Amino acid sequence: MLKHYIHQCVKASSCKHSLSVKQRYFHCSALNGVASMFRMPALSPTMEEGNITKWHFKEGDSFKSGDILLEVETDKATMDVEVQDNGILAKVLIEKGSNIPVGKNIAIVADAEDNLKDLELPKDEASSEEQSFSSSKEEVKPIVQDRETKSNVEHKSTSQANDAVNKSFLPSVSYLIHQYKIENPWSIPATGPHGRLLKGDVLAHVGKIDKGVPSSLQKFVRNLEVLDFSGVEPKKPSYTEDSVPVRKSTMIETLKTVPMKDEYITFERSISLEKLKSLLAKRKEKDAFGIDEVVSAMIGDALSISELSKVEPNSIESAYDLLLGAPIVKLKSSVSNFQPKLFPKNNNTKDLHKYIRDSMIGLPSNLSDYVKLNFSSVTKSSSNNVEFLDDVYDMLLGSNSDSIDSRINRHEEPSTTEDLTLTLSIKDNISKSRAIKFVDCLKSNFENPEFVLSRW
Amino acid sequence: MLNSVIKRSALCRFKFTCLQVSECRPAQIEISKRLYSAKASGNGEYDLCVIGGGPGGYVAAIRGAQLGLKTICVEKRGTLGGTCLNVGCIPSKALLNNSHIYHTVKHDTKRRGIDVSGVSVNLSQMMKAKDDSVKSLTSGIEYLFKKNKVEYAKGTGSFIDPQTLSVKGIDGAADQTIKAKNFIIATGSEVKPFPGVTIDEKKIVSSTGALSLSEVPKKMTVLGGGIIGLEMGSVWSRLGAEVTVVEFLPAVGGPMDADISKALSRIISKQGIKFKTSTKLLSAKVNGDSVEVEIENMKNNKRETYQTDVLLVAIGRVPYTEGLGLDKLGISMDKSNRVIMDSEYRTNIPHIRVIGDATLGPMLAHKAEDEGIAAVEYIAKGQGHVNYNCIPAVMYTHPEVAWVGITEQKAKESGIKYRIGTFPFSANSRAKTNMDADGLVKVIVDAETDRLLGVHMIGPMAGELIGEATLALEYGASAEDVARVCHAHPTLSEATKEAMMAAWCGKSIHF
Repeated sequence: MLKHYIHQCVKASSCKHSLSVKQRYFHCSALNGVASMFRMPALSPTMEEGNITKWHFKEGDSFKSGDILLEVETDKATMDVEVQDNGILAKVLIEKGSNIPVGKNIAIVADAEDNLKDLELPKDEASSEEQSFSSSKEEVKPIVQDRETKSNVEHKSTSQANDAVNKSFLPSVSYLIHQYKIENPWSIPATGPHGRLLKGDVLAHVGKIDKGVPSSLQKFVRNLEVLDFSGVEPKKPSYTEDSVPVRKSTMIETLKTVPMKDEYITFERSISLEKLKSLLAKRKEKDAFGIDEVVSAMIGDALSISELSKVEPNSIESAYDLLLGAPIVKLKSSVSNFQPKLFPKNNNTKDLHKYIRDSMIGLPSNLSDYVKLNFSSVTKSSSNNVEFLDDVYDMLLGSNSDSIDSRINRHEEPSTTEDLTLTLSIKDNISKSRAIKFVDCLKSNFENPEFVLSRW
Repeated sequence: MLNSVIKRSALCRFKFTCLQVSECRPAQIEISKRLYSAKASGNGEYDLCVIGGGPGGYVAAIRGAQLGLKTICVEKRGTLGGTCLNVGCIPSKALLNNSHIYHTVKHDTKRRGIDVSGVSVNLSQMMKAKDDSVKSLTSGIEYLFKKNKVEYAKGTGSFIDPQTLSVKGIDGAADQTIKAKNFIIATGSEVKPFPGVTIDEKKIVSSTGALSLSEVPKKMTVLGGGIIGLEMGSVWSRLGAEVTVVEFLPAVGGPMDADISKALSRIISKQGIKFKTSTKLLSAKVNGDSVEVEIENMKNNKRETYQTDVLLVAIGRVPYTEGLGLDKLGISMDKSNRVIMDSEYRTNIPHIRVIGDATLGPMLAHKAEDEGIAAVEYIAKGQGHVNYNCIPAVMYTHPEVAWVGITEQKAKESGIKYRIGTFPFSANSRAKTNMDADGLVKVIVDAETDRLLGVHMIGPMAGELIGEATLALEYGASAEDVARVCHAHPTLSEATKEAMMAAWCGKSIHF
């Protein structure tokens, strides 16, 4: 946390600094005595770097607005760099050099009225700025999430941070913080969008309104922020079970929901293993993965994407579930409970469906109370669209030397392929949309194995 | 021993996969991009195929291409821009603006100190001005497609299977088959027909026909007092038609706040439009040069039959997915034929997404646009953002009506404690000096926290003023927050600030 505050301070100081640079143009004397960095200018919109060929001024020289300070050579031409304001060239950081990126500090300049002797030279901010730039993306969230833990931080750093942070408060919040002399606004639970601290939060904090009001209002507003599914009634498909249109054999997407006697609902997906099999057939000894690893990664991926084992469903998901007629069951298991059953590495892809079935045994235990998986494999003739991209697989498997061999190998494969029919039975009270998502993800993963493999 | 090592490594990888899921989405796209580059001139499979080139579809296509997806957009109208640009928002605004200028010049210049004589309407020139602006905007999208490298398939799309769309070419474009990893259905909506009334677009017209009447009708009846009906009614009323609005509900203005709706019907009535609320249409028949309309007042059951020159049917719009083959794929729809989607715009076939009028939510061009961007970002980045509480609605009558957030009716229904702050434009200096001071701003806040819940306005430039309120709502601001922001003087936006002050502390400065 402390680190975070320091970061904030760094940000604030660099902020102030840029302010001072602006103020230079107005000759505001308040911040006199601080010099500023002169950076490599971008002389054309596409310029990324340039060479310094000549400085027209020496250290200590003063210049006037419109003077040519230096010459810069770009890939297109040699150009003069004019200065915008009067000043003194305090220090030249890069006398001559090539391929200097735009934005790099090349000199230190001071205000025309400054006395160089008492001048406070700015530290090399480039590095700290880079840091703040690179880390700013990740920094945004923690500010919000760790609000509560921040109260433990030393008082000194907090009040320092307040100065930096106050600027981002809503006007009403700033006002209240000053009015009630709140020393650590970070400790106040925030109910605004993206964790923003709202007026109501501060009012609740100082006891002006009931503590529970902001959060119940937050709930109310959150429900408004998603589409209202309450009035939506799904239409029954226009076709009957028997007349389901037949599509390409490998792409059966039809979703059948058959309520069973013991309150289980069954989803069925036909999964084509063609692509995965031929991919696995191309594996070589040196490839560091076994079939079991591939399979368990695919299942784990589907589990987490479908959020089948997620604890708190978000409201739109629950609305969607409600729409499809299933109340939500909170599952306490986490995905990491899932331990795939493992097998020694094996190049035999014939038993692929066996691996898949066995891997599924490791589903989180309390999830398996709700979910049952059945497998049946169907052998059928190959749909003959085995136009697999050798170069793609080569790329994924990191070689392209023996593509001819593998091509031959592939043609030697029998012209039949085993499709796996995955049946997921769930209890009536589990989130239906997630179960569907799970099966769909699984199907997509098995049929497009390169996506999962590419992440390794 | 060896077994345990394997086991650990496998588990590690497994956990890694789980943890990295969200970050994995871009990687997935990257790999798919690599896949395509690996077969650059191969079978031409696309990352994204957007069906429909309206404001939802074309925006999604451009954003998709900007995010590095190989994108194609299918449109069967012949021009891009959908209903909005071709026969909706844009041409109606051209007519609204020009008819307003005519009306002002004719009726409202004397008191302003301008004497004008011989003012008349040249309808064909007014229509040409409308068509020109539509043409320049639709061809502008084609330029944007080229600039962003979005391919444009002119033709009618129909799914063959979940990965393949066949496109039957129009305007001499060749037929083609598009294979894509992702689809976005953005087919929009069509005019909702009134049972028993046949729209011929000459005497009995939809909004499309009402945009290109060949002459100003003497008498016009508008069926439906919603946004479309009141806008088109305003156009023809200003140009000289005697307009009657027949509305089934007790109030006009559809879902707008009751106070605003009342103010609206008062102001619009003064402009010469007649309202028949709580009234239903029984029949409408073309009878020679006119249309015979039979209506019934539902309060006193009185029936009435009269002749009108043009009947505009504007009772709403219905999703349009005809011929797309969604039933063939088994894509689930609701009873109003809207395609059901989840929070990431996925249909029950996850790689086929749906946005805009074809799915749930308000039928607004800007809602479709934002959904298009969000849907594409879900595909490319795994994250998107649309806040359905912050979708402003605007009616471009004069004065304009605009609102965002909840209405007072809704606040009452949900049983939350709320406060109201209002400010009339008659107390706003800019509105006063413009001699255009009809209307008010109404702000609804939570009674205890002062958090903004809804902002409703009727008044000059309300459609522009609502932007500020939308931003404040999105950021979770309180009325005080907006009231503490400096607003330029003299501007119409001061009315918003003063209404916020009224909501926050009960008192505005100027009223």
